[in-house]
Amino acid sequence: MSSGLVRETRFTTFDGTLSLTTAHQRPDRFCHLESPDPTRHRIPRGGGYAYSAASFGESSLVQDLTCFNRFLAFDAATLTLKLEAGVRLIELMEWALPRNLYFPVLPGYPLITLGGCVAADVHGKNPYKDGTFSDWVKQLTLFHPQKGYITCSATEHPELFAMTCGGYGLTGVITTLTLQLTELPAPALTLSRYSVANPAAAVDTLSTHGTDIAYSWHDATPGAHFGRGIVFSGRWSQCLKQPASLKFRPMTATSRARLPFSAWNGVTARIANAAVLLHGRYKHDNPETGVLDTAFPFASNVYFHKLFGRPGLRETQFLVSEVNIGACLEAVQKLICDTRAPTMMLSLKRFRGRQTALSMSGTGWLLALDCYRNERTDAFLGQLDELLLAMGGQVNLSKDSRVSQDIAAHTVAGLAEFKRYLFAYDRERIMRSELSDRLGLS
Amino acid sequence: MTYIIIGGSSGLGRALAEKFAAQGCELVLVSRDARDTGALAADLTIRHGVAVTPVAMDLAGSPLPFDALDSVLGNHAPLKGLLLPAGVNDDADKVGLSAEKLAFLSRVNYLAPCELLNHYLPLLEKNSGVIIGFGSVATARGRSRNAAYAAAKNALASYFQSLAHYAAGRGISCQYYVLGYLDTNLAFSQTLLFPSASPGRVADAVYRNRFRNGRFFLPRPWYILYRIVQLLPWAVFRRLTF
Repeated sequence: MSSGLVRETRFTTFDGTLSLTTAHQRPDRFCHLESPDPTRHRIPRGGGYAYSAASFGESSLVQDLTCFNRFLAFDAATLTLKLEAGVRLIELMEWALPRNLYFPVLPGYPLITLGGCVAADVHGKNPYKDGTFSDWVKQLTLFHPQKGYITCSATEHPELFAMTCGGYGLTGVITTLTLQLTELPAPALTLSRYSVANPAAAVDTLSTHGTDIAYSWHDATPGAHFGRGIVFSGRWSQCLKQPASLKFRPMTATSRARLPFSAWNGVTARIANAAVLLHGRYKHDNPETGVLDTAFPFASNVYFHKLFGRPGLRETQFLVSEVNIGACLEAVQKLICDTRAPTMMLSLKRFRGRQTALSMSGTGWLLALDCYRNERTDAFLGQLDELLLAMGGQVNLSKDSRVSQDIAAHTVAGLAEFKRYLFAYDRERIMRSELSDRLGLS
Repeated sequence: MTYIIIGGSSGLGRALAEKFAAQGCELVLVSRDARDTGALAADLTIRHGVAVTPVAMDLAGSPLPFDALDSVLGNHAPLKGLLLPAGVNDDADKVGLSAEKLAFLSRVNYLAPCELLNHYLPLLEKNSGVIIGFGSVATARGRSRNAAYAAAKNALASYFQSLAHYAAGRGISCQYYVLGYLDTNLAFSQTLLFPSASPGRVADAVYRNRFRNGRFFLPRPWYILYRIVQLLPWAVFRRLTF
């Protein structure tokens, strides 16, 4: 039989800042998944939408799980659905919505796989209300080349379960997961927009809105206009007609970077942000927005990412406590304006979750910053790291491709415990990625 | 109506299963590893609400264990079709292959499909059914690589010609597809001279044409290439290393 099922592939992080060529396998049956030498280093990969190199690494075999995308069992009494890890969010939702079912934690792009969502313990549009992805996972099956298949949950191998949710694939290949679904509250959402003068005003507004969708967007270019923004607030709507299904052309790390240069700079970023603010000012309510359109805003609006071109972008996301958010926002604004930082947009979400493994979670405020790349970008982000340390914040490893071991030691709450567990669980450290190498977990 | 898909767990077999299930057909999926067909059967039942039964069967075994397959058919609607996208090749398949490997490749690519076909022929004749076989452009002309695979698939193509002759006037539809590069796991690991087609698109065409008779090339442009390879002068062909 053919054994040549591995090829060399060049992988790139979604932010476009890191590429490397390594062995790549796309198993489409169990015997292929199990076929590589059990001592060979490897790492599972889903849709490939992480901004950091969590799903590939130097001399690690990448096992692409996208063919493991089958629905395995549905229990109508408990609304639990067992699926393979390569199922993409859009496949889940396109199955669930016509059956009046819903999954509440949906990150912004529809082609992200469920296994990737568990590995990075992602969040959706209102983590304060819905928590993070792992809060909705009832059970996992892992394949470890030297341990075989292991089923884990909150009651069965609970520590392994906790270390896998937010463990970036370092405990093994997630092959199946059981999700808790809910009944679909309504067929559509009404999304309202409120203009705010600065992020602090957004914090006040988001704190008082008990809505189903709640986040804000702000102009983060340095200057007097810094921080002007829009608060997005959505509620379920009992409209008569269900809006049309989501139409989009898939974007990958490669297709995102087709433009050979970055179109974003101080001038274009300011113009684009002004246009977004103007649009938001005149478009207050958008009745009966489709569930999928609301959940996956980046599916049909790809230009923001594509215009960063081949040089790529830098994003950083961090969680700051409720006590420190005011001071943090002031410090961030001062840093951006003083250094004329290459920042473009800032986003805020109120957060509530359970920190496990390497995940960024807890109670507080999530702040995301997107920067175009120039000679000042990395220096600015280095200064931002110092600020983050001073504020006692947590960094999101899946969104930031440059976090060093030293910074992670102070900003990833569960790192030390995770490392201790990982080295006891898997002494040979079979599962490896660039992220694990960088954080000293290999 | 029920269709049996041999090799229905991955690649083209999986795409055919997804297409036929999406059209409301009941299925019996046969592959060597019950974990793969079991997962796909569950998926198709959940997504499309059709009855799908997985059956584990190794085509390399002889005689084929028909009992298991026959017994599950009793739980399904009448058998309407037999699809045979199963096949296997070997990187070591060159002239001079060991007897063991030669027997294996002949069995899986030729003998086992013929045994299956013969076994279900009476039932398919009774139900005015469909028989669909699959070959490869690798059979255009014998060369040093894929020697046993190409010979077995050519033998299968010849058997399908005989079947078509037998089926004429008996109400059975008989098709044989010669396939070009498909985006399956096999193609994934190879550097190919031409783009590979999506198995889903091929499955669409197979479903659309399932009641026709004859030999077809998919994707169609491969017919031109197939003929060119056949017509190449020997002095040129013997120098090719593909």
